[in-house]
Amino acid sequence: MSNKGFVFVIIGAIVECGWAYGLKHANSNLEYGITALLVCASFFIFMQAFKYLPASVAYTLFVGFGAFFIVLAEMATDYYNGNEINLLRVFFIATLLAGVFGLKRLEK
Amino acid sequence: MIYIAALLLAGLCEVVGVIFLNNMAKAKGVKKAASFIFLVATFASSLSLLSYSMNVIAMSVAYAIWTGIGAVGAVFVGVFFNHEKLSPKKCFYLFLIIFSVIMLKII
Repeated sequence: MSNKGFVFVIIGAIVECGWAYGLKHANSNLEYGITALLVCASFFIFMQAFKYLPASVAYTLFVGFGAFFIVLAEMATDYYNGNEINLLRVFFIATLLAGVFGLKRLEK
Repeated sequence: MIYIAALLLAGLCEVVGVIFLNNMAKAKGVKKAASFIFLVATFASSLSLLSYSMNVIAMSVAYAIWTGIGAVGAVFVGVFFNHEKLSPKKCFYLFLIIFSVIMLKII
């Protein structure tokens, strides 16, 4: 399993969080423009990952890391606002990471 | 009913988008540009169908089903278009990730 592919997927997923946030909160033309730019950037970065990883692994990792970063950001804001952390979320993040590390180890 | 159909169609569009994403990474020149146009078109229709279905279906449920269809579809794209081999262990880890993502989106 190529490390390079992993790095591209992770960067692509972080950029994806940027535009997911933009879609929710943008309220000017400039902000919508930046959001659209981030969409293109994340697809471009993500496409590079397809060169190094098989399609099934690349897309699953992309979806996995995307959800991982978004949930992490939501949990951080929840905690910051003084709310309890949902343990069920922590559990499914753990199973998600177990899957990612399993895949990583499998192809060595 | 039509909202459920829209959601399923959105998932299907996403899978077709993954096929083009897959082609685009390998193609060069005109083929690459064509793949990009189809890619944008399929993902745009997928997202608009998704937001249409969200008029009736709860957002978290719609999003989870959409992700699930897309991720499972991408695995099939790999197997049928790229002749990837799926070992039982690989299947297990892939579906562990997909299952976790679906649960994270529902809760």
